[in-house]
Amino acid sequence: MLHLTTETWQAMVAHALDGFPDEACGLLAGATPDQGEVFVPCANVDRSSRSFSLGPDAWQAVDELDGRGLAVLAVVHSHTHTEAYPSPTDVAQAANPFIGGWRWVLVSLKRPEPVVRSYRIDGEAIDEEEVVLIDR
Amino acid sequence: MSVTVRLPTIMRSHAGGQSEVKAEGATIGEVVNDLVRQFPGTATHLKAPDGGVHKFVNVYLNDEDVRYLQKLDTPVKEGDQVSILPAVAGG
Repeated sequence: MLHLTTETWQAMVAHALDGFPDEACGLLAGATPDQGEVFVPCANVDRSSRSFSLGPDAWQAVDELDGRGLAVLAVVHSHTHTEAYPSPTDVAQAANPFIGGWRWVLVSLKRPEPVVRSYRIDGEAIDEEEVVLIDR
Repeated sequence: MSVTVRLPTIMRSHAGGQSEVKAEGATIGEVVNDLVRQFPGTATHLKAPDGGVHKFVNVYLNDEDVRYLQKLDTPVKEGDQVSILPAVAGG
């Protein structure tokens, strides 16, 4: 289960809307493994509606988060025209050893109401976990 | 040519915990090879089986991704900063 503060949920959705029509991306971080407290919007260096890549700003953010005692819990990105479900490209990229343990959080803008879902991807296995909004 | 190479967290344990190291070379490819020569443990994350750079790694020269320059043949100057960054992407 992934707990998100309402502010964090809103920040992720706002960044996805800001990035439209391109995919938007960022990092979700927290002091504990199951609670996303901070969303760091990052540049999508691909500037594409079909793909995203994190750039140097993301890794600078990782170092800064580490200095604040926060760990990255998830890479977050939007799907502008498809469901909040990992694409084959996402699954292939999840094998990246640099991000072992990170969740994949998807924000879908396919419908008028944005949808946020969280997954753990292990090889070809995609396991969804419930996203629960909390008030801080 | 001596350049500074910034390492991602996962590689620092293979370089004595350092976040930045010095490496020598006239091109990005030579710098990468010198890095692996000095710190053989970095090869796992850095080198692809074909001798190139691993697909999950991007190399930046100062603020430019070398994929959009001359890739491993990109020349470097004394004092340049090379950054090894995880290549996190999706679609």
